[in-house]
Amino acid sequence: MATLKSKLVVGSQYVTSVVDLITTINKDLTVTEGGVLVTEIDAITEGTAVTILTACDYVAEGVEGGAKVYVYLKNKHATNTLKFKMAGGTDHQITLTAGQSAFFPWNVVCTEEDPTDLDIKVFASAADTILEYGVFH
Amino acid sequence: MAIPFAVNVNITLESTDLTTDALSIVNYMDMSPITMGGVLRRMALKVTGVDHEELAEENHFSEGAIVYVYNPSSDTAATGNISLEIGGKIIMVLGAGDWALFPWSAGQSGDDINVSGGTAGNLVEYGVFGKPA
Repeated sequence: MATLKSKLVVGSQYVTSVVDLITTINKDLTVTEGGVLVTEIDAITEGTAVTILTACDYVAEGVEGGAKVYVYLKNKHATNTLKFKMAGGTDHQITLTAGQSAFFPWNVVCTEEDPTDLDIKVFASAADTILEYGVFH
Repeated sequence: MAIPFAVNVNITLESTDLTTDALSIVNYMDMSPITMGGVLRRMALKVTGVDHEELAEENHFSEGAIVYVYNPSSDTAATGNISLEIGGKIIMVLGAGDWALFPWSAGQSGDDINVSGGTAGNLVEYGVFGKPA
């Protein structure tokens, strides 16, 4: 077992009239596998989005041998945008502009009917966009 | 006319025993300027797998709105979970104490953020920071 310390701080001034907003969450995640990779995204249309993470490669918590799965994403490019498809269909659900990142517990349910619907696919606003990503479980 | 305000986000991931080299990621994001936002707590009244209810309306925000979600439950069983559905699929499941932070592709038809709980009445803390559509 290993520990991934996760921390989120959201702060804002002037968001409310009385006090400044400050939210801090610390959570130690118990994991056994994980790490961070960097890859270059050349796909530039929704229809050619490339799969970076396959849901059926993981076993969801609650299923024998399963565990929670956490995903980290960061757009390393200075100007380009990355868009992530996570629900099949034609739309995308996450948009990372230059320098932005995301972290979330991923639902890795794998079904015979829709085995690839929950895969995470990505395309960019221009070729040669660098994505940093990690999966921890 | 709305007054722009600033929102800053820090995501930190660290581990000393997962990989050969220590893992240390600190990402700072300045979301300024935005005009809409705030943090709320509410109950998820629908049960996952049975029904869901809207947490955020995609037509109210522009693409790139920052979504923050936290499950304050102490129930570590599935009954304490909070599930988020976007694009017709549950794409995130937050267990007790889990959080999610992501820039949302708002403004697309059918991509509202919907929520449900492992048990009806589970609390969810959330905020959406962005600009109007």
